[in-house]
Amino acid sequence: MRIFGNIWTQFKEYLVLILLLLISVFFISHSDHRSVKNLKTTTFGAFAFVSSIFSDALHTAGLKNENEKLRKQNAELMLEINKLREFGIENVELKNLLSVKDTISYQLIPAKIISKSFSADQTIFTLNKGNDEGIKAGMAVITGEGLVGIIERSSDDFSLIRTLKHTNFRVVVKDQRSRFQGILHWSGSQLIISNLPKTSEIKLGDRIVTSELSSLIGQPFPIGIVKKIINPDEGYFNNVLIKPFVEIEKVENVFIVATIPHKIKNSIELNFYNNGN
Amino acid sequence: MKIDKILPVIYFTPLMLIQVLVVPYFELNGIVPDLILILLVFYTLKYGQLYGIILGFVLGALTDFSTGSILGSSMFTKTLSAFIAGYFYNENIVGTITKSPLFLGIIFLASVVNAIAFSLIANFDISLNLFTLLFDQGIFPALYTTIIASIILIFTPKRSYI
Repeated sequence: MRIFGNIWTQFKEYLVLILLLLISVFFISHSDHRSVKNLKTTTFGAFAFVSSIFSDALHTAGLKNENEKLRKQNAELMLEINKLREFGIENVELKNLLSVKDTISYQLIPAKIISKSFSADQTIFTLNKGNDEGIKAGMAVITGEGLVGIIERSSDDFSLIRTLKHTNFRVVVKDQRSRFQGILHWSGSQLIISNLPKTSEIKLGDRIVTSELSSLIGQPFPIGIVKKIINPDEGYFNNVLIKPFVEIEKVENVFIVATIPHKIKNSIELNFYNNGN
Repeated sequence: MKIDKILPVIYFTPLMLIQVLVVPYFELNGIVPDLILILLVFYTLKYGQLYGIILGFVLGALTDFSTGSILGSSMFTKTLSAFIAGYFYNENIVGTITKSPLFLGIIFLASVVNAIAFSLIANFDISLNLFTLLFDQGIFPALYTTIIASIILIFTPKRSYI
């Protein structure tokens, strides 16, 4: 017993450190567990409620309604232009075929960012809209310039956005000109499309949009332009750096795209969210 | 004395509100100072390494719960940062160390450890460039935190209220 006492006296800082680090690692490894997610949703909802009170006090209310209308109009026009670009490209390719009838309808829900959490790897925003407004995990979040991120989880009144600048954010994108597809992710310092074949005809300045193949965002929302192609003369694959259209850090107001996808498709594609929530 | 020791937990909520509501206006290329880390280092130097380790764990947990980041990530990094900062605890200079330039050096060191550990946990990538890890994700955020700490140090009255 005395030996344990001596060990504790001499090494208590190290023992406590190891114990607490092990507990932290346990939580990290179980962060996707349903009960942990529920707990986080409850606590972030409580903190977001407090944040929203102070956030409202910080922002001036003048011209709020007019700004909201204009922003909504701007976002709708952006989506319309983007859709027209898509149709233009498709028309060239399919000029001898019948045009595909568009069946997608967008419902834009305006929301305000009430708090922002920055780190090099994870930029997370909290929105002032939640389940009560019909917000669900997986919905796309946009501004007039393009995609900001997706809804990660939501409580009754608030939601968390996993932004483009989050290392766990992955989305299938395509080059709007050459139609090549790839997976976009945040490396911790840059937006990258990795492992594109050398045969892909991607050029600097090409517009990158989300692909219809994406299981989460099945509509072409603008992401950014090709800024740099890394090592174009070496290896079998290219990595492409993307400059996003949206200045993620400066975004204050967004729209949530409340699409109503096909029920069966939805249940298959979002099953991991449904399981998690 | 006992009430003093739970003060940082009470300070957490207003400080976290400043962190998520006001600090984003001062972001530089996505980098922001970590006010919670400054609070943690201050109290670690005041009450010692063991206290700091436990406080780091508690403040890290509160950070994870309030920001929506990976649960356990801030717990891990803040605990580790407090452990490093705790090495500079000295009973004989408790009152003066937090008012000296050494305090800024300790914040810088703890902040580098915090930022690099967070990057490794949140984005473990074997192809990650060491330079990027050290500078972009370690030293630059740490420098920003240290600069803010120095501003706080300059405007802190000589008589201690916290």
